[in-house]
Amino acid sequence: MSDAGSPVNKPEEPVQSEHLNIKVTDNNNEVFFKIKRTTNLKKLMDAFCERQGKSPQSVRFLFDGTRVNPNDNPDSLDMQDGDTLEVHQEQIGGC
Amino acid sequence: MQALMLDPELQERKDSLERAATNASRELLQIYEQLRTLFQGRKLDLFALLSPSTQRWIGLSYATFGRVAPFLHDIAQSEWRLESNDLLAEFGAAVFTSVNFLSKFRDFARSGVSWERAREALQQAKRQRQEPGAKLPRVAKDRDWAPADVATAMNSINVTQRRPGKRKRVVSDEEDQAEFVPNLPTFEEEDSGVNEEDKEQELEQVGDIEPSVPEIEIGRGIPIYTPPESISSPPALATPYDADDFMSESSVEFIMDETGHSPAPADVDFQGNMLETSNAQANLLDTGQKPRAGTRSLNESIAGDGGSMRRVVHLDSGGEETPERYTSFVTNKPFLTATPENLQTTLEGALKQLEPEGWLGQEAIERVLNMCTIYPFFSVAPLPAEPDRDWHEWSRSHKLRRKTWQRKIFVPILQSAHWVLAYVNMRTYKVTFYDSMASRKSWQSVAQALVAALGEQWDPQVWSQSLASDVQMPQQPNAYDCGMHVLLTSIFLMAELSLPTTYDCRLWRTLFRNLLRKAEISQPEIDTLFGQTLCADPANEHLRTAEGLMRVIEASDKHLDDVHQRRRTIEDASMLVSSLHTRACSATYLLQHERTSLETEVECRQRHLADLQTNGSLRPNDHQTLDATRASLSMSQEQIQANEQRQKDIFTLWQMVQSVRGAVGESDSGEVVMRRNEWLAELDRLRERIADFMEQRRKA
Repeated sequence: MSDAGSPVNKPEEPVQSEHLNIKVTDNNNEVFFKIKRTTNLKKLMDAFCERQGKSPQSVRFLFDGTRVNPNDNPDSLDMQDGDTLEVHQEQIGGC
Repeated sequence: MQALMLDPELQERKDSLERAATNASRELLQIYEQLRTLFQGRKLDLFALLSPSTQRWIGLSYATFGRVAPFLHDIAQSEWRLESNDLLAEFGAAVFTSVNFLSKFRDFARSGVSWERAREALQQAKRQRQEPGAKLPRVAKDRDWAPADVATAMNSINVTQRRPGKRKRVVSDEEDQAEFVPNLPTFEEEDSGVNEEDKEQELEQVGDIEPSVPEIEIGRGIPIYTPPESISSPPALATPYDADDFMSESSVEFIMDETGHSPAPADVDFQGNMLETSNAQANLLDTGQKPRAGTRSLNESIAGDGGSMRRVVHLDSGGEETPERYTSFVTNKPFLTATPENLQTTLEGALKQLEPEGWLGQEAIERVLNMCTIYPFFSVAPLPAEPDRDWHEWSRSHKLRRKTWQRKIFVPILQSAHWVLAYVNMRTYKVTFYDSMASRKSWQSVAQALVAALGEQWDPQVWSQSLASDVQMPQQPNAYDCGMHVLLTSIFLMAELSLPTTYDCRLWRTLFRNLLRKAEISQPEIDTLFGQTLCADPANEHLRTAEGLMRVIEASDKHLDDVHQRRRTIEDASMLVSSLHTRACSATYLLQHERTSLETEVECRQRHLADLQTNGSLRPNDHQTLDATRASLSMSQEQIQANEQRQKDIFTLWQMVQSVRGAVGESDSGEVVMRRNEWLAELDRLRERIADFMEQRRKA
């Protein structure tokens, strides 16, 4: 739009902002989190579980199909603003 | 265009119609193939017995899905521009079942001779063959069209000599023809009921209508042969086997598997082999004879792949499964214990699941496979609840793209609380499902979803899916071991061993548990694994009576049986694990080799960069290539580490198997045998004494 108006601050453009928004979803719920790039995702996972009333031991978080470790952080996983974490519950089968 | 405008429901119904058509054709072919194998070796020709319309359907199905499809494609692309309908009108439906005929015909079509001339020659050849005193005595005279006709026709216009490099043998003399024609399967012995005279008249007519193809000088037709084509359709080899032996295998199951689209080294090599062997043999190698030796052939086809490259993807489909459903299930099935413990996504959860009679979850399967898989490509991703709808987005949001060289993908699938293994072979374009409770369920949609997730387009002409039947795959004798069957089947397939008839799930559960715990297997564990060691101690009071003795002897017999069985399963396990270990070692070796070459490359590039820098002609993209090489070097380093870890794990497993093996050693059963013999002798003595006693009493 107004190219002249924005240059003063330019909050989004300069490389990466400190915070990013991450969507966490199981099949039913979507929760958005704002998290620092260097914060361990454990914090986010715990928060989500607490919110949903689940035990952190009973779910797995996937980013891009691979499992997220509690001590990963958005930087180490190369996450972008608006990325999604999927939450899955353990499922068992026998017959 | 219109398809896009359809609303979803209509679209879906249209798709299902198309699927139905495809499935119907395939089923038709399958039934026909089965019948055919029954007819093999009989003089009767199955095809000729069918009604003309059935013949037509089968012919068209072959043309669409069978092995002949690539040939037909080539023929349509050739100067003759003959579509399958033209061929059907010209030669009848029977030729579609003959790979030999069509492959020769394809060659003929490419030879640059005009269609008119070729047709004349073909007619001529057929008449010659059918003449009473024909010079090809062993060729069936009564059949309509034979591959030999094409060969003769080609001979008569001298087009056989082209492509000297590719063709192994050239059908140039009668001997060859006489030799190979009798080997044709029976169906050509007599041919479709089309009347000869009618046929020829029909031919004339068709000829009139046929668009005239410009005469092409022979030289132009020759160099058409290009490598990709050679892959998509193997050249017709005039070897004896090449006859229609194709058809005796299931050409339905392995559609166009010669179309190894990706010319990776392995494939090229394979193609080379194929040129040397006869087509039929090559096909055996490639696909195996599906119907009976399914598992074995699968293994062979793995072996043909130079199998160190694989990746395990791990999906589950029960997206809609909720704990609630489990609990309601639990009430019906008392053995199932879906507790907070075994639903944990932790090591403890996995161990809990691996306990005897426990249901397995993703956690256990993922962890075990992760340790046993030789190549560290393994990821977990659940299938969406409704693949049909969600799949596209799902496959976009997940990095499930395989590496180009990864050809074998093992996908454990969880569906309605039952684990099934899907094995995707990217080389033969086949998805095979291994179900330890084999049902007739259709896996079509799951197969399509999987293929889509792997970034491939499901094309029914290329991809096929099948279900390993219950003879090819061990069946679970209970309602809790399907996860174990999935684990063991994938490990056996990875180790390229044929599947045994049963799995010793109790043994493997113990082994896997210890592997995950990184603990040594203990004596008590071995003991519980195999039940009580011996049935009775000598001081037992049973041993005083005959009845007691007999019972003890029976028990020891059973025990000996058990020991025998146990020894066999442990030998199986030992073989499996050592094979895995060998593979892990060679994979590491390969990786190390790769690393060395990457290191050299990095060095070279660095030097190159330095050179460029001094020259001042450095471009930014030179840096990028160096960075890329460095990245792959570090990745290779990681892979080596991961692989070495696996190697260690597998070695631990091997040690455990060995210690179990030791425990199940000879001595144990030897002792039982000894005691059993003692008891038998004791029983005999007792009988004698009783007999003596009775005798004495009678006398008294």
